[in-house]
Amino acid sequence: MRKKWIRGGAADLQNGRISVNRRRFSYAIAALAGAVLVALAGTGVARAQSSSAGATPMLTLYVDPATGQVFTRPGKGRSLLTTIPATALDPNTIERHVEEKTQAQLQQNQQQLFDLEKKNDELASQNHQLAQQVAEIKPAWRDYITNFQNKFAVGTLVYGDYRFYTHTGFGPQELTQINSPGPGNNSFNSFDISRAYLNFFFFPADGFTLRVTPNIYRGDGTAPADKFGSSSAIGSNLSGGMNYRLKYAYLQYSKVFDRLSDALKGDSIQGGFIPNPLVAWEEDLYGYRYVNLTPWNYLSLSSTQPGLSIAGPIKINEKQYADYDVGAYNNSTFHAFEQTNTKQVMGRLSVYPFGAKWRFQGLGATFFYDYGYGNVAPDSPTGTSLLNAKTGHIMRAAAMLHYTAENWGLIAEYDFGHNAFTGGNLFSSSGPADYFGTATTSYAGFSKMTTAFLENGNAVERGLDFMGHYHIPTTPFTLFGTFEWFQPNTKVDNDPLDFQRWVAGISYQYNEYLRFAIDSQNLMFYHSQRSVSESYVNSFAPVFTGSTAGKSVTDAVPRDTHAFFINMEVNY
Amino acid sequence: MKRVIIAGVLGFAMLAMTGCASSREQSQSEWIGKTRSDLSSEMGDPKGAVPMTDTGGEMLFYSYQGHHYVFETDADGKIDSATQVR
Repeated sequence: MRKKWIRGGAADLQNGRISVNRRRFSYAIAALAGAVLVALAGTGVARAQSSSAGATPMLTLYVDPATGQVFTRPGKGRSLLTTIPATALDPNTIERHVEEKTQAQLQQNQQQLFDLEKKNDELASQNHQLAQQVAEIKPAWRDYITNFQNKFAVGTLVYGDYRFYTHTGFGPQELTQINSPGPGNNSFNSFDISRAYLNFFFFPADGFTLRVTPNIYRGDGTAPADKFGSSSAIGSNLSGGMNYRLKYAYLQYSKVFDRLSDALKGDSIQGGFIPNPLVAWEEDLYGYRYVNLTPWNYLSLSSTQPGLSIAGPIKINEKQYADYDVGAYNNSTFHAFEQTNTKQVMGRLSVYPFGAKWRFQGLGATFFYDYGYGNVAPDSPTGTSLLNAKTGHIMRAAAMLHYTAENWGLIAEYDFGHNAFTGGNLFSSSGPADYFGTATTSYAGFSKMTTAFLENGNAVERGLDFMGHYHIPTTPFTLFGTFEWFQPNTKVDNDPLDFQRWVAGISYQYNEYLRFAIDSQNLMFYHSQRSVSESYVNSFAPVFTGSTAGKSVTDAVPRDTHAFFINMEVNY
Repeated sequence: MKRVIIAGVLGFAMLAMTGCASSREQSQSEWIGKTRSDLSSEMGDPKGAVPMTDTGGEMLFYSYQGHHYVFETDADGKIDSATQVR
């Protein structure tokens, strides 16, 4: 076998070519050299072939051209092939060379293996990530819903009640959307829903909030039937049913001052159907709006106005030292269309001299001012009634001291106004049919007196109120109450329409969404019953025509109203 | 009338001094940004909950593990004010 290989190698050499398989050649040469050296060592040929002692031993090779065989000895038909130094055939050198090449190859293979392994790891990692991504792939609608949830909030606020009147009388509504009949209807009672907010909040961009809040209202009043064909008609369905209308609809931007000052951080601009500066704020301060209205809201001021406002706290070192809200609004309320070519302005400033750690906390002083006009068109004729007088103005002011602690709160309020309490406000729950022009009754004179005293364009109102609550420790119960003393027109001597209102009750917090209360609500016209001369009434506004000599309005002091309420609040 | 107003002012002044003397409020900033549901999960039902009509949020009063807290949420139901009152 070795011979066969040598022959091939010689042929290659003869052809002037170098074997392409260097490794095989190296092994062969090494084996051949080894064999030769062993042979030389055994036979002494090596010595015979040495040129001289100490010199490098040489190996002489011969070839038989006829057969191509290589021989280490001369012979017949053989010719000299080559002379090779024996050291060139040192098996160790060859072995080392081979080992180096093998090692290099091994290292190369190992590097390749390492590279492959690394690549495998990368592929495995990519596969894992891909698998995760596949696992996390969600339908587009789910992504849309998640995004929608982050930008949208829905809530509701519902007030309900049952009320029983031991004594009925004319007066303002205890709660919006509820009415009671006038005198002579004792034991009147009713189940009601007085509020059903659907709160929609949309957050289209950072700092922006869009709020839309429809609320119920009672569709009081009558309308004629609709004609339907030549000989038929359809009855009106305006029977006092509950309908929905817009209560709030505004866009708010709450980062308007963030870059200016940390103290003004969170202050906002609102535009649309917005809460006015006083009513909603005071409802929150009092905390029992689901039971009764706050003073100016009870008297005349709507809680919502179409307009534009700027509001917010002023905080220093996380303590709130002031809270303001100021804006320009329609003269109409949110449930009437604007008729004027003027606007009303309102502003509130609350100051917390010791700093409030949370909203309302501690001692606060608040001042509110409102100046506007009756909601009449510019070309309306000037008359005696304020609301028909285009030049008439309306002013409301309130000064408050309030203290709020964790378990209790107390509010003292002084109210002052001009032309801010009309017969329509006094009779918002119910009033004489004469006032509304639906009938002539025994209250006709009283109705005219009311118009003259309250709608003469020069009325001055004054009031004093106390509101508060006390949470009974370790129980879910809270005592609360409101007292309101009001003079609808201080210019009237011993005004029969002066009244006191008081509300007292206990509230039960069932859980975070539900509250109940049982309470007594009372309206008392506290002056002794008396008559008022028509001439005195006419000195305010000429409501009585003809001779008024010796004539008077009898029973000028309205009857009191006393009622018990059970109230419910659902907030989510 | 004047007597009533003067008495009221004096009463509030006394309340203010009492309130300031006993003030031990501490901010609980770790609750800021969490939801009302998170609060309920940890502390249960509040002893008082007052909806804030103007903001659409809510004022929540809690008594939990011997401490008392007041939280206010925004319209989104996230807590934007948290104070331990005692």
